[in-house]
Amino acid sequence: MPIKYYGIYLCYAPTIDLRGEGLGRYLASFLKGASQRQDIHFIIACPSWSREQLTELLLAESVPQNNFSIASPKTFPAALRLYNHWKRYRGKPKKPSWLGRLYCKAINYKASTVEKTLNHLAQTDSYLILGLRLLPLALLVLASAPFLPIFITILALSSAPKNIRRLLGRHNQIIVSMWSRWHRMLSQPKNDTLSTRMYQSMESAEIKRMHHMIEGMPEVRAWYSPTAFWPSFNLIDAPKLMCVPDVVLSDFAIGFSNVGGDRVLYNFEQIEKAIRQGTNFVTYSKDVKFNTLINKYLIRDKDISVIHHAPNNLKPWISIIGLDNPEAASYGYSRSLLYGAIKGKCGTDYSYGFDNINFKFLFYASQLRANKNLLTLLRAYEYLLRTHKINHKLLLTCNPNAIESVKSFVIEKSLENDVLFLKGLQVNELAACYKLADLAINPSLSEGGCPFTFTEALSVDTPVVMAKIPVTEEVLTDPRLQEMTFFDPYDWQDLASRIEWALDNRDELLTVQRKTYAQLAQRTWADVVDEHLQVLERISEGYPEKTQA
Amino acid sequence: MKKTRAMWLINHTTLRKFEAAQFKAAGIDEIYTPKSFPYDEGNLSANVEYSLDSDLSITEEELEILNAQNWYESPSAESWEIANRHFDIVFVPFFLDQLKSVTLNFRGIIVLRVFGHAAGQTYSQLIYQYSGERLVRQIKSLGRRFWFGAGYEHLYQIEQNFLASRNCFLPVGLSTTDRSSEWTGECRKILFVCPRIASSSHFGSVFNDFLINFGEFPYTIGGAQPIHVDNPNVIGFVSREEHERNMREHRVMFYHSQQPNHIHYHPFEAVAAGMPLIFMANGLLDRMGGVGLPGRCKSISEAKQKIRKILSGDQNLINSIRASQGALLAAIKAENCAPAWQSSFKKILSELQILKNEETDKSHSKKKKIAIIFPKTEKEIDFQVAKILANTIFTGSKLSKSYAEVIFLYPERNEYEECDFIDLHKDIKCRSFNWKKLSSSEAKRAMRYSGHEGWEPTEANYLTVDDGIRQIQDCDLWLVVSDLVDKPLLPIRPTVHFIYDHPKRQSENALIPEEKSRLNTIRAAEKILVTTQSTFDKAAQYAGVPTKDIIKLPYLMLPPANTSQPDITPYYFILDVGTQQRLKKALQILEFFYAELDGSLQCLILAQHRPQLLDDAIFLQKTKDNIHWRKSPDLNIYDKLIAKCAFIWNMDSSDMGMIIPMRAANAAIPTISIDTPAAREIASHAPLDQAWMTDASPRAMAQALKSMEDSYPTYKRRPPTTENSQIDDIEMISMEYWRAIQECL
Repeated sequence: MPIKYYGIYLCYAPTIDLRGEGLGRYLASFLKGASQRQDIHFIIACPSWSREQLTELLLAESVPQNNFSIASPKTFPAALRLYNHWKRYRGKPKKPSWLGRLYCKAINYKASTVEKTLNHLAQTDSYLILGLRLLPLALLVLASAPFLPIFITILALSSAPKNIRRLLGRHNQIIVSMWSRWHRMLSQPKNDTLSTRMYQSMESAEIKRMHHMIEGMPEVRAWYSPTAFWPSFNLIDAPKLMCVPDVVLSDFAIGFSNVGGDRVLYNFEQIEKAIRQGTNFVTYSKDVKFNTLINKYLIRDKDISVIHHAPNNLKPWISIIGLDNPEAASYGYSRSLLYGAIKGKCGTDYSYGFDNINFKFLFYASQLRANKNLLTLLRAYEYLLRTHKINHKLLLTCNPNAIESVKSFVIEKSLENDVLFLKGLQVNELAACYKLADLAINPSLSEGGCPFTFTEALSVDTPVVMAKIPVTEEVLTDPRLQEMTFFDPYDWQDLASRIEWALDNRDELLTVQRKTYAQLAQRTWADVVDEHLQVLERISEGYPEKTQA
Repeated sequence: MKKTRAMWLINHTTLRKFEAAQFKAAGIDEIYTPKSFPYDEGNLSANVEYSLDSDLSITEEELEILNAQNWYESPSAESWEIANRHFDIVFVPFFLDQLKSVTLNFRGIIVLRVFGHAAGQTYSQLIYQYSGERLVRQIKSLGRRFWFGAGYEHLYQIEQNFLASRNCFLPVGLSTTDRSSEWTGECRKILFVCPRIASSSHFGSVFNDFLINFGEFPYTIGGAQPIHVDNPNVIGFVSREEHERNMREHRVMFYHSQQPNHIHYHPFEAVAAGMPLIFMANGLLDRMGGVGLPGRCKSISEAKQKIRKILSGDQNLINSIRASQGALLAAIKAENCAPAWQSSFKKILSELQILKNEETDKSHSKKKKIAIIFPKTEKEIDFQVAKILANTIFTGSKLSKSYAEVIFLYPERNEYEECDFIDLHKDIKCRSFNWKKLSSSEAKRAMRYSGHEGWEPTEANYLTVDDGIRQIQDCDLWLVVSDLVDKPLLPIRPTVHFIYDHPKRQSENALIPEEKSRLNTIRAAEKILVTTQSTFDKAAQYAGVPTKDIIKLPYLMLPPANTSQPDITPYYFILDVGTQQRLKKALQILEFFYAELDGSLQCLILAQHRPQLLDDAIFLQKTKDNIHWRKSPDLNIYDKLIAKCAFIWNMDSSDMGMIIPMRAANAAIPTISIDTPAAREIASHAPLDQAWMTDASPRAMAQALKSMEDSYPTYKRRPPTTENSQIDDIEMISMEYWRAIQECL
């Protein structure tokens, strides 16, 4: 059977860890879905610095390696290699140097000698013995004599006239500022303008190398970019399909205005440029198609395809096979995972001592961003808790420090011991949280496609309440389910009453939601891949074929 | 198949002939042109043409309605209905009011016809500068219905994306007749066209430069001069015949402009007339074939040298210029421009077809959301006003079948309880908020993210409303009750202020920074809503808001009270105190009232908090014993208290201070108020006579209060008049408020 080749274009910055990106997981699911096809092969083109990470991601996600390959420029840019060496060096646990060790010993020796001498001095009743006892102290003073000039200089400076100190202080400021700049360049290069400019130059050289490589791949019928981050994708001289998950910044302009400064603005401008120069698009929802691509970027209807996600099934991550009561075993395993997560990932004194593994909780898995509407959930939760309508905890997976108002709400309302933040959950831990939660909640105001919360929760038999937003209405269409599941995300009281109702009517809600889940579960990632391939085929039709250079 | 018709809402005489021909060549035979135009800079070369009307296949009545409109300002709703029914395309020049009106009302294709601006200016900037973010939003919302109809190919390159991405090249064409053989050049003078010397600073300085550089030569200055210029060489507006004679007989024309994006017609007229054209390099003529022509000059001294030679009859130079300058006409010749026009028309018409067939976005018909923002104020009544306003707008939208969502926003840190919102309509959602201050760089990023790539901050800080959800970006309009905002609001959504008070105008602190911010805030608003002529005048006279941006609405009314008047002798009056500053004075008045004038009725103060001044040692015990405080009750209890009181004493001089007196008047309870024009204006609608006290010394005011105590039973209901019955109709008022809101959406 002849094999058809398609390209996947990635151009992430070296600092991005694909394993932490939603798109990383999406790519893994996509390639898993493609693995059943024997007639296709994906070539993933990426910068040299992404190859290792990408390989690790696909291994971690157990993606079969049968029908994809990774292509990248062979060598790393030298500056990046140096930077990586530096990072590795900084990351190593430090052994104290010989000088440091000697210093510590000397300090310890000095402390014990002085202590002993003073004790002896206090206890002696003879001048002779007193003289002998003072000898080690005198030797210590003598040994310190070479450091005397330094001590005197410091003393002199501290009592020097103000203007001399100011002069020295000014030089000191320059040194401090240079040091902090140097430190920022090495520790947070993306927040430093000079490093950013250097990176952009390095990236542009790498892109040239990538594109040179891509030009030598005439067998690739069409290229696919899973995101709209990279305007350079449009430079490929072949049929191209760009996925636009969403452009969330434009709908939450104020909320994002203090996130990441002008670096994020630059990224946003890159996205806009990529979309404006793009030719064929795919979105996860009709909502993004119409409200973003057609209405905002004036892309033609015919140039946009909508391909919905397939469900995320978390069940395999916590299923125990081969026992008499697999369900009980699964619960047990999930509890142990959750117990570990509470102890290890909350990072609070409260959680270290929390030993009740049968506690009741509500669960929302999401990063903390301006569109996630977490404050509405917290307001609703606080109301339910304080009016004694529920006794649950609220488990979240985000870092509360990402948005100041969220952090301060939790503190002001004294919710620190009831709202627990489990950061950096593994997939099995995530599955365990969903499994054990009484209710999963998603208050998000805007998403590119129907949030995975529904299928992830239902895959482990947990009911969900969700914000009524266009992308959820587009996929969850059963009117009865909508009535039971949706709440107005702009109204925390509506959310509170929905949670209360859902907890009181959990079984009824679960029964209705299971039906829809069963329908959605018919769709697999193989279907998603097939639909993408249809679009890629369509756009490559009529495109002049290239021959090997 | 329906005919494609176009409206060419331009009155430019020279352009019309050429462009109408292009429409017809594209198969658009029916073209409507306006029958009136305003006098301004852009319309000096304008006239009215009726001949195209005969091709229109619309009814005579409809044509009559269209012809009666001023298409440059605000044509009637009926005329837009006709336009939308019969026409598919509108060409609109760069007049911002006209552009606003067209983008707001026309539902077909809109082509903004532009011919370039002076160097350093772009259309995008001018739109931001003079019409603000709203017009940018409006243009963007048109999507592919909008085209940037650039007269010169390169114009879009300097524009922001919302214009540049919609570029549609429609070259400027000129119907010229080659009369070069008729040129005589017998008038040994330079012809320099420079209109409006005395009325335009730009042309004034062009004229002065000309005199400095070329004043030594004989010259004639052409071009209309609305204001007389005291120079015999300035000939002003001339007849067509004289104009042609000037073109035929003058020895040389000098064209000064080095603008890269704009050009005038007269250099082309000179070339067509065969007159040698001396022009400066690096202007738009260079792009039109001017580079390399012998009439092109890199410096003024070169131009002087060439002009000197021509005036002295250097035939070699004259002939070489005349023989070569015809190349300039090539770029504007009808036959050369036609292909670009036809290709652009093809693009426009195919887009029109696609738009008709394409699936339309459902979000266009989604409900509008109006945010009623109540900032923290020191007056109790403001909270009531905000709620009444929210109810009024909600009712208006419901009655108009628009069914808008109304969101009521109140400050989070205030001690409002659930019962405080009981008188809001049940479908109005409430949200608490905090003001969020954005630095200029955050404001810039927020605006960039929301699609304003050219917006630059002009203030150090901006305010936004942080509701903890989406900073009310889900709302289509932000209506702020009052102008008590100490920083400008981020113009990410259209903002409207409902104003009923301008206390600072009478105070000595009129120039304090807060006042400056308040004024800036009002000036930046989309519209200002007021309820009295007095406040209208203050907004115009004091804040300097153009009157077209101030909407006067009927006075807000509460639903009628259903309390019957008890048959008991009243023993108290109600003091509506307004601000805390007024309270001190009120207590001084009461001191005179009780201590000197032996006032017998007790005074009831209704306020959220007990006034601390009541404990002040300076007031006599007798006074204190007669003054009682009660927490502001809800409306029903308020009504009961009103029904049992003798009269209302209103110390609040703002427009909305009259809300309770008006309600009391409906229950036949009189009020004595501070005498202000606004209060008089409002009270003229009341069904009961009112009493007035001048804001003077406490003693004089106490006497007025005493006189009210003695005479309140004599105040009788007025017979209903057209004037006072008008405002009884709350539904009518609500509809009017909703119409005002719709204007801003």
